[in-house]
Amino acid sequence: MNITPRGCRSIGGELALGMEECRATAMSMFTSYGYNPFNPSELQLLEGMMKNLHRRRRGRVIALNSPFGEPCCLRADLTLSVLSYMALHHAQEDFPLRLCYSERVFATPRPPRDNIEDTQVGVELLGWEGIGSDVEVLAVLLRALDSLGLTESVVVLGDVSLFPALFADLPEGLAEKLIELLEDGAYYEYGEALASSEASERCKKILGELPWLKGTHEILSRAGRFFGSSALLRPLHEITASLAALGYGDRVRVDLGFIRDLGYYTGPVFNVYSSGRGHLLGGGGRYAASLADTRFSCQAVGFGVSLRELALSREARQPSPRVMIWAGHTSPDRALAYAASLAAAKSPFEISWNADDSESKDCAIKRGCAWWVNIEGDYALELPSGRRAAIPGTGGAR
Amino acid sequence: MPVVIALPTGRVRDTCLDIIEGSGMPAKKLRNAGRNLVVDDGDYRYILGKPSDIPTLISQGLADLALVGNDVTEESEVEMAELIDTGRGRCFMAIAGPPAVAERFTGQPSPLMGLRVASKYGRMAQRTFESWGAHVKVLHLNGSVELAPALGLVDCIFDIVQTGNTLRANGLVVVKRTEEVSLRLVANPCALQLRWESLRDAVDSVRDFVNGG
Repeated sequence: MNITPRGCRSIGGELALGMEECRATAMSMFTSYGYNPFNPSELQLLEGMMKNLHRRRRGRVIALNSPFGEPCCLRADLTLSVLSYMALHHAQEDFPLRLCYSERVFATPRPPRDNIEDTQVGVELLGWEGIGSDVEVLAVLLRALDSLGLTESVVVLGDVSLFPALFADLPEGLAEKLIELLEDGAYYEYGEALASSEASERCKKILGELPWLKGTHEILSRAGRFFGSSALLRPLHEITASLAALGYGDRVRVDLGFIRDLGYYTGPVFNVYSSGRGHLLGGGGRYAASLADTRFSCQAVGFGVSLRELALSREARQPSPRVMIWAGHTSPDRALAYAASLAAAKSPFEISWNADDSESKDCAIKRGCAWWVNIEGDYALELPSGRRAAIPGTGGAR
Repeated sequence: MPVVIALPTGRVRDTCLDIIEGSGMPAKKLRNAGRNLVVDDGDYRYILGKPSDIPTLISQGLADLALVGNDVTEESEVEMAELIDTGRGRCFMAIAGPPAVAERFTGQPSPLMGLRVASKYGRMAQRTFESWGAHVKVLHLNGSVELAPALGLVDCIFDIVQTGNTLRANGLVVVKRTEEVSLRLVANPCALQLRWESLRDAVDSVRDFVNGG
């Protein structure tokens, strides 16, 4: 019987275990930096979503009606949920505010993917205008990835505020066209549209090179000389310098042609990858807190990364040695008292209530347990060798 | 780490090899690949795949770069960066059918409503007719699309046309030319962000070659 619809997946086994480890580690890191857990509604009102989402994402929203007849959609964006909550529960005087989450987002997939749901962990920092907030959010992200063992993860930085500034003098309509082509990754058409336009030769030279300004932080100096001014690049200079001072210099790259959801994002944006040859884990950036029709007139920064991608990107970890406690001939209270002592020692275990000890041992071997414990006999068997060892401590369970 | 380039087998394979060779990338082992589908040569690894599988190789990060027709990339709808139009392997997408069906293509959507269209390019066909405001029935076929009108299965086809010989042989004419097709150099967007320095030489040399440099 398959009751999981196409595009959805139920996750179990090692991957589910890995995802849970990633969630717990990341959320613990976020809360230690003062981010408060947030649990948003799974449904969002369709009108607000369609009004505030970037046009490229609107077509992927999964719409439905609530049982109360309201036009809704499955949560397509966590940032908008955060902003909406903040607007209802806080005044701007309360800022800065920090929230973190581990929740699902839903969207129609782009080929070849077919999953419509993804669980993300992330943070949102609202109400701090300075570069400090961008650096804080990126540092929290990198610290969380470090603690998950992803010490070769890489952040790629861009700045969408470059585009309105650099495209300001273009003939009417051309800027929108070029931005759309860059967002679509249509670099060739971008070059053709620029070359055949009436833009000045200097403008053509700068904008023609823009998509190819990618690399280490050193690309910023080259870009500054190219633009004739480094003022536009100051935010990226400051962010990369701060992250380098924190020891992350070799894990930060810059892509000045990186544009995403212009109008939704307003400043520095970033993607995060599991390694230099790895997979995209997620991304984020700076946006205006007025995005969700809130009364706030400040900036915010946030990110979301996929829990599944995080779990898949970590090196396969040897599962902790698991103990099978045989309680087939033991009273439940005694078995659970012994189990509590293992739990206190953070040693993963499972209780076997099977009355047949050999069936219980076979089950322990099948499940990959390292030990099979006979509480009544005060001994443990190492599996699969069967080597016997006395176990101190079972007496304490009596 | 080698630069990994995916190349299509079939009709455009030799054209791709000419581009690789002309751009100064090693191609000797590639030309003598026989049945090998992965060829390592110098700083490059070439993966040979069916054209329709190239977008998957790119999107899954198995290849950094690829040469592939824009018919394939548009049909796949896979996110990738299109870097260069090589201008090679030129052909075009077209609606074709028996001469009588041409009368329905008046520039207005209403005569096209309900048209039955066979294609290997189901998504592109749907998008093309939708852009004209016409709701049609698209029948996906994997090959010998030209047979479908003669068998009475559909009214017309949407397909890639190189010389038009197969169309003529099956009593079909080009009713409407919709899009030019050529080989494009495409990139995995992640590779572009993470390893541009490693890819730049290959991209620049293809650009210089196709621009006659």
